[in-house]
Amino acid sequence: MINLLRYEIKRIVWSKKYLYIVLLIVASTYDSLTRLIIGGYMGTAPFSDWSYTLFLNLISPLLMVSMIFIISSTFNDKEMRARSIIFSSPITQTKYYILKSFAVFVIFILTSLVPISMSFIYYKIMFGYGEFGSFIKFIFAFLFPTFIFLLGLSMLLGKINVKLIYTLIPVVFLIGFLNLGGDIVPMWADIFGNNFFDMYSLSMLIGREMEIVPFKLPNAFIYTRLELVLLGLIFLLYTCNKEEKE
Amino acid sequence: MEIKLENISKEYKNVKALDNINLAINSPAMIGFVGPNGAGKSTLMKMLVGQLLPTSGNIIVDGVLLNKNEKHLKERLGYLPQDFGLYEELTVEEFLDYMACLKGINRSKRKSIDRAISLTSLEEKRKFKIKTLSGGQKQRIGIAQAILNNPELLIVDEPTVGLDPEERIKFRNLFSEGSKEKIVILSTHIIEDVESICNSIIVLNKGKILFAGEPSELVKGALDHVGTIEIVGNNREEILESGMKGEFKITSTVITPHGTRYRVVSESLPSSFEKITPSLEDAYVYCMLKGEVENAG
Amino acid sequence: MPDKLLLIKNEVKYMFKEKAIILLILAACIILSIGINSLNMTNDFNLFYIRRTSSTVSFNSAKFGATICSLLFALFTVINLDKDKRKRSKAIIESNLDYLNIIKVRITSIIFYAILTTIVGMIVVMAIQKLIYGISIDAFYYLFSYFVIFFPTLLFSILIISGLYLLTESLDMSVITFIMLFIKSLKSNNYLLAWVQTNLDIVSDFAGIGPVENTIIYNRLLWLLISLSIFFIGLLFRRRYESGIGSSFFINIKSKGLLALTILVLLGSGFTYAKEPYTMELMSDLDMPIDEKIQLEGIYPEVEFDSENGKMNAHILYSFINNGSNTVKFNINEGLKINSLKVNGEEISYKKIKNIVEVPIPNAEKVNIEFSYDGEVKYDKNGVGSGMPGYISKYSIYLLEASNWIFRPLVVEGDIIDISGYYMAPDYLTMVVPGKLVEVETIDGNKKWIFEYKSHTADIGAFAAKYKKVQIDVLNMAVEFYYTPKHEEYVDNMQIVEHIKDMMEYYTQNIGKYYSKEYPLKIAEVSIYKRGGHSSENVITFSENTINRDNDMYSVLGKNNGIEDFRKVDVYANDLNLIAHEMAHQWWGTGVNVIEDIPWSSEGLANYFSYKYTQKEFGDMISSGAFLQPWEYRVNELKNYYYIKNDDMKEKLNEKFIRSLEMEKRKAELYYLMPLKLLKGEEIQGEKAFLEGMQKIYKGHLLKDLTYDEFLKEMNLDEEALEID
Repeated sequence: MINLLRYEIKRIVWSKKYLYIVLLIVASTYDSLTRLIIGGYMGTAPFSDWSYTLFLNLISPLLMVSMIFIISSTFNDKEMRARSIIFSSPITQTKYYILKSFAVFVIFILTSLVPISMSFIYYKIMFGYGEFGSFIKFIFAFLFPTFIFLLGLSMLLGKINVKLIYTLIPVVFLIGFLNLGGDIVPMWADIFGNNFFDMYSLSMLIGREMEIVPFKLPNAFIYTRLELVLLGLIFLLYTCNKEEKE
Repeated sequence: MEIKLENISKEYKNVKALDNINLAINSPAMIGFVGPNGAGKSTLMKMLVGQLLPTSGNIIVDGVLLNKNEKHLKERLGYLPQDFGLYEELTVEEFLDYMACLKGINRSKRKSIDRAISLTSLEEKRKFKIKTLSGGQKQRIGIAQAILNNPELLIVDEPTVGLDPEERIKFRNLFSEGSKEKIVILSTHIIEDVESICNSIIVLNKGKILFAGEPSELVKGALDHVGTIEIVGNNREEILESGMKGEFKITSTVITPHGTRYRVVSESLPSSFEKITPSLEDAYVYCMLKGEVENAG
Repeated sequence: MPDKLLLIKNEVKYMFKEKAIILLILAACIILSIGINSLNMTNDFNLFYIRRTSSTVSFNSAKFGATICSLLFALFTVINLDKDKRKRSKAIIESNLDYLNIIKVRITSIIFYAILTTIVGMIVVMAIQKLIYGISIDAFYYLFSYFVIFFPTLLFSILIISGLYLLTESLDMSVITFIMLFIKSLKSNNYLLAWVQTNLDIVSDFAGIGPVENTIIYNRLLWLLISLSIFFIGLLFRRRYESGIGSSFFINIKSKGLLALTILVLLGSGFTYAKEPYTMELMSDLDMPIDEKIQLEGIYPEVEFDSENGKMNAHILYSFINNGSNTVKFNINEGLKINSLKVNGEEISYKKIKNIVEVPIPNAEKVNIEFSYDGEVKYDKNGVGSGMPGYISKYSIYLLEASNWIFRPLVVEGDIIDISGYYMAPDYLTMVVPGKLVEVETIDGNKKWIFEYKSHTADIGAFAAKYKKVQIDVLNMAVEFYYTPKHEEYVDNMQIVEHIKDMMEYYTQNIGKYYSKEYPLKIAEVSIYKRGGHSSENVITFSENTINRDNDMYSVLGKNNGIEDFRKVDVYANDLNLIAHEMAHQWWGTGVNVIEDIPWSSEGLANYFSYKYTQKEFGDMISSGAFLQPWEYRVNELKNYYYIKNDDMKEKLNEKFIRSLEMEKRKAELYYLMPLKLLKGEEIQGEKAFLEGMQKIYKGHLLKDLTYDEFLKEMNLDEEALEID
């Protein structure tokens, strides 16, 4: 299995396309850091928990869209044609989808390490700040649930029809990038946690009476994140287990 | 190994791709599926490898229903589909390694890969990325992955497509050698391939088995139905017209110094024709012809 | 070669059969319909409940629709172009005709569907406007919104993504690159870069599209060239004969026509971007050094407005008293070209560096400088559409001193500046002039508005529109209220005139008499293209959103306001507060010249009094929720800003960031901290005593300066007591 995973990852990572995506992510991360994060969210320090969660929110849309593109390669015509050979081997569909999902998961970790390590380097060099420990839990709270949800959803949609994944791309991007507020995008579809910034962060920071406002993720937010993870896993489980045969 | 097909049918939106197929295959066997395009050869093969479910009927492998025992089959299976894709960004060797992992070859993996590469003459290309290879070379990789696990059941769908004549002969021999202790099923529309290696032939048309048995039996059945005639000069209209009406099928036309020599296959050969010993191809044509007549009747 | 038109017809038919395009058109219609109300979905509080008209409905739907449909069409295009590669049908098609033709045919067909979407979407939105909202249709705004904003965005998206796809030969890479360009557009303040949605928030009902029309069209022109450049570059790198990007390029450049066209559009885009003619970087007064050795005594402007063409022609005479200076510097608007410059009656040569003109002057005591200039006023680079300090358009002229439409001498201003002259404009416009209107002459189709004024500053503006003028008499003061008849219903229903009277009475009672009997107070509605209000000398203006809201708002005046009306009451209170703030400046700013000494300035006093007025009108809950609390919040927040607390870290920031931070800080101190300090003073002394003290100060300093120290001393307050914790 490890060997297969290695090949799956190599196939994606060892390509011009992936290099290009990483370059774009580097460029947009650089832009976010130097143009927005440097000022700090709502006047907090650029390395405050508030600013760091904003940073994660800023890099999310592009990162997630890239991941959906990578997931779409599990369902494109090339892969479909290769499946006739793959499925003549004893591997089950469940294992096949687990293999693919896990490969994307590893690639997601590799890819998100790019902006994350950039931010750490930036903080160290610009501000001599090095306490990254507290950021780890935000990375888990912001990036992972969104990713797992989208992984599950894309896998499910891709299995139905790859065109649905292509439709998902602009939808995800717009939800992530345009702050459409509660009027257009309902709270439960706020997969990037934009609403968190609109409501919670602002309410905590407006009129604050101290320089450092302690950051605590509200329970409601944690629940929605858990819901996303759960939904993603359910989608994933369904995709992996549902046999498809004509 | 033992495979049994019982009353297999497959329908796509009211079109019957396979119609009540019954078949029993025991190892060792070297079986050739022949039949025109759309006869149902590939459908039947996909069903045999567990990639397609029959609308009705059972496939029984070694006494157990296939869909209950897919793993058992697939561990013993080598399959080359008619239309397939490869992971083109991997090298030949990497891809075969990948497939070996999938097939669960743990012991002697290196050896198996080396063997498959050498049997398919891909030694020079083993470090090349697949996307840089030609169509025939890719076909060879397809064959290499099918024989990788030294399968008990080798199913190859149109394996010689895209290969040059020399390679074709080589692979024919490769398959037939394998069939000494296993089951090899190959589908083709090149009768010559079957003739030279298969000890069993199955003729399919419109989802039905028209013939199943040894090639010599097929030939026997066509005795007295194959003949030739030489038309002198330009009086060809009559014979061509009869051919059009379906009275017989012209299987070859050779221009001779005096006129034209026709070779025909017919249900009832007119007396003017000189009877000859049928070839396997003639027998196949006769089989198809008979099938059509029966259908019409 | 097969007839291309036939091919296109065939492709159009084929796409239709694929159904995806039908879904796309349907989605576009839904998105456009949702977009009708998109203003209420933003965070732009000032634009909530704006009255629906043809201009807002068509523009909002088109803008919102363009943003989302841009992505959808791009995706549809790239999936279509990628089709043959995915389905491996390229070889078969290529064997029949040049593959380039297929690309062209597909793109043309998608453009055809983009046009169809535009038309269908427009009709749907028109129908909603007419049938659901019962608002009559103004076709002009629809055509403009849909064919200058919506359709071009789709067209650019199609061309850009096609170019990117041809360049990268990859669906993923081209979509992600497209997304980057899309983000750039939405994040940019520069109107030139906003190719997806244009940088306009709303189309003015007051002034129409006129003031911003050129910038939008210019943006469209620029992006037509840019998207064509990307497309042609894509064609130049189109893969040929299964070769790589490099060798394909060398094959493709053999087509001289394509190469020439690519170079042409590339140069065209560069030129169009660099030579943008409508905006400049306007410098704020704070950045300008003032020459203390020379004093301004009078300005005599004679200005003719050609509003049809957006131009003006001015002859301005300045008189100075020179105490030993060799030059006078003027801050000018770069759109205005100097035709002649005379010093004491003699033509003279001058130095011009960007927007500063340096005029040499003789060492005489009295110096007169005469400028003749004409042209179009340039806008502020980052303020197109929402912060335009000056523009001239057919139905609206709006010229604030900040636009330097009257060149601003960078000198000390005398106590009294004599201002007299005239503005001439087409006779369908009513001009609001500074000071006193002396006479109006009609000269073939134009009206000449002659005015005079003894002013305290050189800040004069010019405002014109098809105004309705209402004369309000209150306590023997003359108030002139100018607004467009389009908004009369709202003004009447929401009792705006009564509120203006109320404010006058309130200020007169609590501060003192209006500063002048000679000069009437002029209140003018202006367009949304400059948000908020303004007061200079006896003219105050406020943007149209204040009196152009939906008639839903009428419920605010009912006695029982439910929870759902709370937001409306808030909006209404803010609107009236804006007028009240600007009006308070007539007392503090115009009546008493408040010498700025941060946080002390006229803004703090104006905000304090407008707050007091709003509190009286709306009660404690609304006034503290809408003003007091946000002020306290803002002040507290800024105090705790990282870069404010850690001053040494500021060096990490770039110049622009520091400037904007300092601006924010300054604004919070002037507008929020100071009124809070004044309220603290009120708390210490009691409301009655405090207001009496203020009345005394007003009387004592009327038409004179007032410094912070004088204020504190005369009020018997000390700085420490006013400290806010």
